[in-house]
Amino acid sequence: MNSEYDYLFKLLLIGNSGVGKSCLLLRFSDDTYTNDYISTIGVDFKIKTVELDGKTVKLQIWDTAGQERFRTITSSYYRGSHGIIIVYDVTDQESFNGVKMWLQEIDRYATSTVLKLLVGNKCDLKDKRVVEYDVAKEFADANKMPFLETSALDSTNVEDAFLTMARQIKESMSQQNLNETTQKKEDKGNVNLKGQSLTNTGGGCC
Amino acid sequence: MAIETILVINKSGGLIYQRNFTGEEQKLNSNEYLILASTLHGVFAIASQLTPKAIQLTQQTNIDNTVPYIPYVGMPTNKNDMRSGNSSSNKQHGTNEKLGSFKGDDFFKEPFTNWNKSGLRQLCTDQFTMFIYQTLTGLKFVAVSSSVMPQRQPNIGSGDKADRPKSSSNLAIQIADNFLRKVYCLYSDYVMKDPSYSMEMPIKSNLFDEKVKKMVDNLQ
Repeated sequence: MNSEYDYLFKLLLIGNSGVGKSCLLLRFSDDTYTNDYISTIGVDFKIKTVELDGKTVKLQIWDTAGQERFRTITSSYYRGSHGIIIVYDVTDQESFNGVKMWLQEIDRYATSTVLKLLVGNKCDLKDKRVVEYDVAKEFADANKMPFLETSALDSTNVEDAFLTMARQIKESMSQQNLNETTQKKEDKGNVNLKGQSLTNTGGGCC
Repeated sequence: MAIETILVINKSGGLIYQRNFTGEEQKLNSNEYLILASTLHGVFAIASQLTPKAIQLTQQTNIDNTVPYIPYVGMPTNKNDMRSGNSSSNKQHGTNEKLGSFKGDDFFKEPFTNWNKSGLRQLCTDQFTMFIYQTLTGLKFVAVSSSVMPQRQPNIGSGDKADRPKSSSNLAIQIADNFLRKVYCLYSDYVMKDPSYSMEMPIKSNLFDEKVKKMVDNLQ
């Protein structure tokens, strides 16, 4: 039996194509960097084991493809994720504009309690920067999510980005358990038992 | 059909239970199993999208999704002899071993609906066959069987087959569905009723583990 870990957290990396999601993940999981650009096909997984409050936690990070043509099956990847990291490129205005669209995707497919984090990648390219820190920070505040600038090249903030998220998830989970027990005392019996097959949802729209 | 591995994958594609029954060294490490499970989840999603919309729509009325009940799959073998016996001997055996909160000598005795309507159900290679049973809530139970395709004489399911020409005629899938549905019964009894279990997280229940092991042993 798999008793070597206590928790399994699902993290999702999203963002426009080429902003450095895979590089960010490679830096976090293997502490390496590659300059080659290889487009992710569908989804890629990386797993990192961390210790939090004496518990072994496996962070499974789903690195999705940013390219438009892979977007048809993304809804199944959003489902049940604990945290979503939206990545943009500080040297690419277009990728920052795309963040709004990614937020809409989250609203549509993910659970409402999911934790979000905005990450501006490639902050080592100071002379090519077009998205200012203050602008992004303001946007993040308006959407009530934390914000970090990272660099997969010189590994600034990379570890922080993932570990902050893991810690928050752990906290919110124990918080949720508390809420559930208190809520149960207040209201009872509002569970909808009329189920519908999962594969049928969304069918017949066209 | 000898079961090599049982996996339980939660609705978000995370592996929450994995066990090998062959006794050999694990072929994959835990990270590789996690990736396998999530990849399977992705392939499953793609497979259900491959079904053309038109077929999906007509399927709802035309195809019968019930899986016939196959008696005593994964139950202690002496019961197989009892299935045609009179009711008194059945009762005698039914009290031998309690099935948690389930009454009687088998977990269920009726045909059931297959909720996995357009997803992946079976994956065959030259080395193994993989069966996937999906519940209404999106939980997946996966069994990897070492036999490529069991050529067992369909002596128990043949009656049902004649009655239901439209349902899946593949006996191996039906046995696997019956078996995995029982694993689901164990899950609902020993995992969901475990007060220290947190939803969607790895299963740590020894009781569940033991019962699954027993059921796999019975199948061989």
